[in-house]
Amino acid sequence: MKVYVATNIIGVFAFDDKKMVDYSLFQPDAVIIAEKLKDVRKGELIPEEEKLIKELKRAGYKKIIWDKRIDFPGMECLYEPDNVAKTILQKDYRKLALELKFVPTQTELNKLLSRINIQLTKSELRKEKKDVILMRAIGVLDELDRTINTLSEHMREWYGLYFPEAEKLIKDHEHLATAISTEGKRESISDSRVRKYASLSAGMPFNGDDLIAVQGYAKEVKSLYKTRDNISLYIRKEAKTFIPNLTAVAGPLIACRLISLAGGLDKLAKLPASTIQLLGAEKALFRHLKSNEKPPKFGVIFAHSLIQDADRSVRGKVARMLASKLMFAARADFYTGKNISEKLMSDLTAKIGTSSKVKKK
Amino acid sequence: MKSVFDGVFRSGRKLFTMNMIRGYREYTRSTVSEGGKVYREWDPGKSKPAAAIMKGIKKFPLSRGSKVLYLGAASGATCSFFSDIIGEDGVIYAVEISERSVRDLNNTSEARGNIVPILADARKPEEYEWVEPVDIVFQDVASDDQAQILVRNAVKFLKKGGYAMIAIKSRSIDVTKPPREVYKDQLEIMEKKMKVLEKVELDPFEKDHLFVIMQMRT
Repeated sequence: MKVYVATNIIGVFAFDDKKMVDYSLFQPDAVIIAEKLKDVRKGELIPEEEKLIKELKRAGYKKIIWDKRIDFPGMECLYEPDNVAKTILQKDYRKLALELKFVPTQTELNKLLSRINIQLTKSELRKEKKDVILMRAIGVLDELDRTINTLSEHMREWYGLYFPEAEKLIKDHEHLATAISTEGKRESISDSRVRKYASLSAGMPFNGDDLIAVQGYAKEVKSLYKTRDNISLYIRKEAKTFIPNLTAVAGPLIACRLISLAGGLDKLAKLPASTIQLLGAEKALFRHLKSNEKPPKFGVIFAHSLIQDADRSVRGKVARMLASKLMFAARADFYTGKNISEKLMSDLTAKIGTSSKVKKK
Repeated sequence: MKSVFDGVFRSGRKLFTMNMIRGYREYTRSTVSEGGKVYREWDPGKSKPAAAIMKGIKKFPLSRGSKVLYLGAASGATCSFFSDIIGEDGVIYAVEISERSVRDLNNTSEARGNIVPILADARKPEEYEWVEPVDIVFQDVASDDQAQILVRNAVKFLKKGGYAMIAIKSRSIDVTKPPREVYKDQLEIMEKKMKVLEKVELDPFEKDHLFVIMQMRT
C-alpha cells in the first residue's frame, strides 16, 4: 500500500489518494513551528515526520511518496515534489486547522500564520551578508566625499574673511582644516609661506569668539576627513577578502559601487557584461533610448585607471573589455570563491596591449 | 463619513478605512473619530488602489474576510489599509523581495495580525507554493514582466471567479514606447487568462500608471 506525505505550517499529513489516513499536528506556537519549517526547508527529517512514518509502517504501508530525498528503514521512499498530499494541504490547510482544532478560530489561524512568517523572515534577515554591509559603507563614503567638499568650501570662505592669504596658499582642504583648528591665529600658522603674510594680511580682524567659532567648525571638518579615511581603509580591507576578483580587476571602491548599483553581489553575478559596463550611466542610457542622443560608453567604471589612461578615441573599447572581465570576476566571487584575478588581469592587459588602436596618452 | 465600498469611506475629498487596531497611526496623515469609530486617512498619492478609487472605479473587489495575495508589498503601507478593510477574518499574504523593505513589513505585520510577510521573488511562486487559494491577487511590482508575474500567480493561487488587480507602471516596462501601447501589450497577455472588468489611468496621483481590475475566467 502506498501513501502520500507532506508537511506544512500546521503539521505532517498522510493521504491515501484523496483520503486523509493519518496526521501529526505541530504545537500551535509560532517560534516552534518556524524552527521546524526551517529544518523542513533544509530537507531534514523532523520528529513529527518520523513519528508519522513509524505509525504508517505499523498500519501496513510499504511505500511513501513525498517531497523529500530521505530514505526510511523498512519503507520504500519515492521523491515527488508536487505530490497529491501537498496539493490537498495547500488547498485545505485552513479547513483542516479548524476541523482538527489546531486553532479555535480563523482569526487565530491568521495571527499564527503571521507570527510564523515573521519568525521565518526574521531568520532570513539575520543571516550575515557582507555585500549588504559593503553597499552601505560605499554609499556613506561617496556621500561623505560630497558633503566634506561642501563643508570645506564653507570653511574656506569663512576663514578666508580673516586670513585670505592662508586660504589661497593652502590648497588642500584637509591641511587647511588642520591649520585652522590647531593653529588658528595668523601669527600662529606654522607654514612659513603663509605666516609671512600675517602682519600684512588683507583680512578683517577676528576677535577671540570669532576665531573660536571657525576653529570649532574646522575641527569637525578635520574629524570628518579622519572618518572618511577610516571607512575607506575598512572597505579596502573587507573588499579584498570578500570579493578578491572584483577588487583586483576594478579596485575596491569601484567594485563596491558596482555591487551597490546591481543591488547585491548575487545580482551583479547575473548581469551581462554590457550591463555592467553601463551601471551608473542609467540616466544617459535612458536619454539615449528615448531620444537620438549618443549612447553612454561607461558608468562607474569610468573612474578606472585603464579607462582614465586610455586615449579618448578608444575609451569605449577599453570599457567593453574591462566590463567583460568584471563579469567573470563577479561570477567567480559569487559562485566559486576561487581567485582567478591574476589570469583576468593578464588577459586584460594583454588584450588592451595588442589592440593596436589602444595607445597610451 | 460616507461608505463607498465595503470598508472604504469618503469624507469630502479624502478616503478613509476604519481602523482595526486601536491606536495604530502608521502610514496616515490624519485620523478622524466619528460615532465611536476611528478612521485612518488613505492617501491616493501614496497608495495606488486608493488612487483608483478616487478615479472612480465602480467595483472594488476587497471586502470583509477576503483572502489576498499581495505581490510587491514593500514596507506594507497599502497592506495596512487592506488589512483594515478585510478585518481579522481576512488575511493578506504579502510577498516582497527586498530585505530592507521586509524589515519594515515585519513591523507592520506584527502590529496588524492579519498580514503574513513572505520574503520571496514574485516571479517564482514556487517559493511560497504553500499559500492557500485566495480571493484576490494584487500585483504592484514595478518590472518589465508585470503581466506575466500576475498571470503566473493568478493561475496558481486565485480561486475560480476570483479577482486580480494590477497597477501597470508603463515606465518600468518600456520607456521608449508611449504608455498606451505598453498598456495594450500588457493587457493582451493578461486577457488570455482573465476578463478585464475595469481599467483606469491613475494620473494625477501617479504618472503613466494604469490600474486594471480583472476576473479569473472560470
